[in-house]
Amino acid sequence: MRYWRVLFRNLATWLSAEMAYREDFLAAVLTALITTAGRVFALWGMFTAGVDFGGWRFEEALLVVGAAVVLMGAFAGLVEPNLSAFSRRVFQGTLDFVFLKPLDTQFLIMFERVSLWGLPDLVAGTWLIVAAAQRLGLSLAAVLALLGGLGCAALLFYLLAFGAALVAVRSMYVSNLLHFLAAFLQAAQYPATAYGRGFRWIFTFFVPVYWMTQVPVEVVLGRVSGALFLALGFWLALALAASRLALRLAMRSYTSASS
Amino acid sequence: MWNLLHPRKLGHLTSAFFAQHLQYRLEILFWLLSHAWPFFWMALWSQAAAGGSLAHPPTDYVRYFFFAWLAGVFNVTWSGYLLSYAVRSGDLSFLLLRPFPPFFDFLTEHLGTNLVQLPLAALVAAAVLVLLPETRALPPLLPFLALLVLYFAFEYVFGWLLGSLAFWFEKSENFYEFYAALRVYFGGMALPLIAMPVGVRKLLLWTPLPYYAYAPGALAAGWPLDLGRAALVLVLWTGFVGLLAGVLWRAGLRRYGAVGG
Repeated sequence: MRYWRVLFRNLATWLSAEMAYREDFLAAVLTALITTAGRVFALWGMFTAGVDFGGWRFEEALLVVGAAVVLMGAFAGLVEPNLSAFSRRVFQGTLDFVFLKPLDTQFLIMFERVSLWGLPDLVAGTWLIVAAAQRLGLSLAAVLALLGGLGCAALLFYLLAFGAALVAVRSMYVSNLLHFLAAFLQAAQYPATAYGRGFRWIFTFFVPVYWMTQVPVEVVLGRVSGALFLALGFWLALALAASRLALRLAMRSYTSASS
Repeated sequence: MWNLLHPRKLGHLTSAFFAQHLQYRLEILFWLLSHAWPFFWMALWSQAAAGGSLAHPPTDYVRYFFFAWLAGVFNVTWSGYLLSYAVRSGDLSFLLLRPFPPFFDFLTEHLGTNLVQLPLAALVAAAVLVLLPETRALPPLLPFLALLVLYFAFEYVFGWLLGSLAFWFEKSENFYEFYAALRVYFGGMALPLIAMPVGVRKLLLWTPLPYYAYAPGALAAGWPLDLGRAALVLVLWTGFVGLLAGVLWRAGLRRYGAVGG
């Protein structure tokens, strides 16, 4: 309960801070619109040019695009701002203040702030999913299940990025490392069948974006069994345990500003 | 006239920025990798071309995306970001005290960063050249470099225009992001112009967008490209945008209150 209250306060504070720049926020909304239009245009161009998606229909592939856009929104809104702030804290030695607080350290690091810049992508991605689902005749329950699955996927991606960001303790800057991970979300906006075998292997095991966009969509389309949602949950539990362990290990090398 | 450009001071600044960014070389390597998603598109398109369902052979797409990526490493700018931040934070005041306009300041920062990127990009490019023998055909070097420089000039000046908006809006980084989104989706990085409807392609070729990725890529793939028009379009746009940027910059400076105003 206490955690929810802190989460809510943190998010509200950061939202009001960012709304200060109105014209710039308007530009961010326009960017999300043009990006979404560009994505649909690119997918349409691929279909008309004859790119082989392994039997996926346009609307079905659009669901995968929407899923990836939702995850990108989570990245821009939550993952990037918090983990950049984390690396800044390591750099300046102000991580000490986080340790001093009576709440869980990992929670404080991961949910300290939220950026408004994630919102346009979240809306655009959800809109793509709803529009594609409507044309495919999917039920509301299916759309909600997909969004729920994407919530889990976003958390999984966040934990993965969190683990990667722990190198900040050594290398200080992580922003580009995070964007390197986010680049895989770009790739994951198309069904993995469109790529060669090597890439598919990378997307399944190395940076498992395949589990984050394509699997939830395929479950909802009824192509694969819903048990794969359980696999997603398994990955999530594993990532959570691993990230907690990794944080403990990494903090051994953290030396605050003084030493 | 030559002295007005302060060649020695700007030379020193360039080497200072070079040294500053060299500290973060690992970071820049990750920047390169994080912008390597054209390789995903390369995999996707060449896979499809190998299946025989596309208009061009796989080799063309491999070359196209590799050289489009390579051009994109060097021809993109972030002057809009730098200027917007300098206006918002008040750092611009210190730059204005220098004997040359801040325009050159940020230009040397771009040059310094590109110099650090050169060996790193060469490293990535060498790996690609070994792994993908298809890429080992160089595009005509002179037109390729000329396109790089001309597009860079356009974007740098355009960034100045967008950054100047910060005098009124306090923050204009997202205007630059808006252009960057246009650039990716309509500049040929996400979708080569040859896969677009003819009308859209014809219209786009009169804007600077396709000279970011499509033109360098098409040059490497050996697809038809009107180089004369490329130069004309880029020079005209740079002149037009430069004029506007100059007007906005002057008007903006009069408004600028260095945070306190």
